[in-house]
Amino acid sequence: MPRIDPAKTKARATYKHAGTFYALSADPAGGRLYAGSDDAAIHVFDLAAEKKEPVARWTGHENYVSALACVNRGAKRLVVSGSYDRRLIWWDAGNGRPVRSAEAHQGWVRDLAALPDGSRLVSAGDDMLVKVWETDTGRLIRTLEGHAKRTPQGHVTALYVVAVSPDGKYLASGDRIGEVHVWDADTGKLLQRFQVPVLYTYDPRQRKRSIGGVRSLAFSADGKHLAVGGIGQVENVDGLSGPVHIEVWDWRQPQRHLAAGALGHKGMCNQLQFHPDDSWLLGAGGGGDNGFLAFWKTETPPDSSKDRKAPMPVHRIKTDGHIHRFWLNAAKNELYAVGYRKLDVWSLLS
Amino acid sequence: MSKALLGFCGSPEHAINRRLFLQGGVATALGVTAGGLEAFSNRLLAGELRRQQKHVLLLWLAGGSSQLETWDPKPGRPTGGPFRAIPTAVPGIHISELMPKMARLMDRVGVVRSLDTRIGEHGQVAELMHRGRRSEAELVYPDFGAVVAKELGQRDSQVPDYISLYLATEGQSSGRPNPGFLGSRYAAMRLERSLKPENISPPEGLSGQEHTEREHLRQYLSNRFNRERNADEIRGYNSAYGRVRGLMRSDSLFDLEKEPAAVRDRYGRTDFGQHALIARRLIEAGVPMVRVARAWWDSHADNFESHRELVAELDHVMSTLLFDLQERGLLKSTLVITLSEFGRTPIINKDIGRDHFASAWSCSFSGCGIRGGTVHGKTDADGKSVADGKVDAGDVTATIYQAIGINPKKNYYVGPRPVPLVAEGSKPIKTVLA
Repeated sequence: MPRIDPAKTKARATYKHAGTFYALSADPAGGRLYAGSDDAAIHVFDLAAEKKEPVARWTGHENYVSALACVNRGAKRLVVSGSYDRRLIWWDAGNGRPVRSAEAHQGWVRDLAALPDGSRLVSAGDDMLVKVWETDTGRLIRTLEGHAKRTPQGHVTALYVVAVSPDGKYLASGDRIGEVHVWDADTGKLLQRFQVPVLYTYDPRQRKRSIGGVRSLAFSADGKHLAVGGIGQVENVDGLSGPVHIEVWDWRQPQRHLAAGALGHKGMCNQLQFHPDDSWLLGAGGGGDNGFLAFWKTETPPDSSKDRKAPMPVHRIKTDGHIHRFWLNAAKNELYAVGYRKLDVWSLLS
Repeated sequence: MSKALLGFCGSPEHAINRRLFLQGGVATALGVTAGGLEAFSNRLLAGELRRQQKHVLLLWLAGGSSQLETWDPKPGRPTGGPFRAIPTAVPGIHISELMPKMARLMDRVGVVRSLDTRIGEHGQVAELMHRGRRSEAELVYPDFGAVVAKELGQRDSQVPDYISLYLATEGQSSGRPNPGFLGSRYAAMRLERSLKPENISPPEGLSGQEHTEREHLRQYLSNRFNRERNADEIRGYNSAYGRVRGLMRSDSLFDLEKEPAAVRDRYGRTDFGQHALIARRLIEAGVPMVRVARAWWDSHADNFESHRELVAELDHVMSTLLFDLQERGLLKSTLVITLSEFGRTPIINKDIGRDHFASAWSCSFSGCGIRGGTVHGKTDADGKSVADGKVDAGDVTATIYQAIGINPKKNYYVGPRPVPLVAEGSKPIKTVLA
């Protein structure tokens, strides 16, 4: 696998969009990239095309398309989408037709992930439930319950993100008040829970409302570590004026190994992903200092004997526009980032 | 005003008396208000309006709530955001899905969707929405709460005429009630640091018996003095002392520990819910004007997340309040208003926020004098401008006065100058009036 050099990251192509993309998934084998938008549609791009223009637009949802997962099941290539309309829709990637639809959550579907073999899907919704689905049938296998239904101040909360370990054995979910749960993917047993309270700001005095939450989660390649991201404590909750904040945890202990920002960048980290060789942790988001791509060096194995608070080596790229999701094509050292009114393609050539 | 004139000894036990005098008692006592306005108008305290015991409860959504996430949703439009519109108890009227409880009570609500107030700066527009017009360099207009306090306040009332609960610090000073030329007699009693009024407990070491005896002595001396001179000042002092005594006795109104847990739960254990419960208790006790601020709605980023939090709370608290007032027979005599500085931009910014927007936004009226199940005005398909029925801050103020039986065309006098209650050209919004 080619190594990346964040210092050489270059924007290669941009597609201007009328709205905001909230979701992204790719099927490299099928040569397609799928972006979910606030126009309730899935915009389909040709990965091979130099000029990025949608080649198709799939409609069927009735609200923002907030989550996407591409799954290959034998000869079948599927795309599964989640939406604020509370539904999951299974699409035949070959013809863009809906195959199945399920009323998934009593609340917005916030995130969706597939197990590595594609046999199961995992969704997270604002009913504060994690649900495990059989990909081929759409059958609900299991519902995982445990996240608090209200914030400590008595307000509604949200379950923003779900992640699957690379070996498919573990699931992780993160909520608005900064709580992370790790579940056994086969049994649904809650294996661990820990708090990252810095990610949840409640201003009890000046503005009396909250901001933040666990907005991004990613397992390391070996599944031992879990990266957790969002925005650090925010002084003025009117804006995303707090620092980008990530932590890496040995989730079994549970013990935090490190906490870092992105060179003082103010904003929310909406997605995290370890590079497949675990040499870098990639993050993206946006906020007070506009959008960003960040690369934290993780080559040195985390030292579990101490809690590192010193900044990790980090490379940060300021982008024009808030990024909501990215997809790393490690084989080609490309990164596709979507968000506010555009899709950007970045080259990460070493 | 010198201490000697007021008879203060400067001791701590008189701190509240002095404050209340400065806030309210003195002007009445001397029979003047700032600028010599309408001297002794409060002699008409036995008027019909006061006998009707009407009240106004303002839910002040400080910071600027989004009309698109409350009363004027635009689902499916690029500006609409992710929340759906839901049908209400009134056919044809839809509001945001964040307000399911209010949707069921829509037959008790009059919504105005066509506010165009032009100003998008918090401080200036907070003042505008409270007063209905911009103040002049030499004339500060009173906020409508002060007018309500003046018009509906009972001279012999044992509770304050105007109480404002605003415990968040953001926007507190710019949105602070101001009696303007009506003078401090009609200033709000402000609870800004805690829900317990400060300095209303008898001083430490003074028993209740001693406190009562002191008051009896003061009253005896005042009455004797007044028999000899028949002075309005003394009547005013007695009135003010009466309010202080009433306030000290009504301390329990602010003490929710005495409220059954089920009632507290009903309102929700958020600050706003508990403040609304206090407001209901105050209204039930006879306070004519109560303002409860819920700050801070200024969602320049993450607008939908903050409105999930804030509107869900507003829906619960407001619906509970309306039910509770109705169950106690108070809704028909209490005007409940939701009002803000402005709305939020239809355009969603890069941080999924909405910014300040004064060109086409909404407010609501319920209860006293209101024809429920009505909507006044209309915005265009994307909510970017008023398409029909444009109204402004002056019209809102005129509507409030009309709803509770105050003639908006009435004049006050500042010296010889007649000052109408509302800005020239302002009219009540008839669509929402009973």
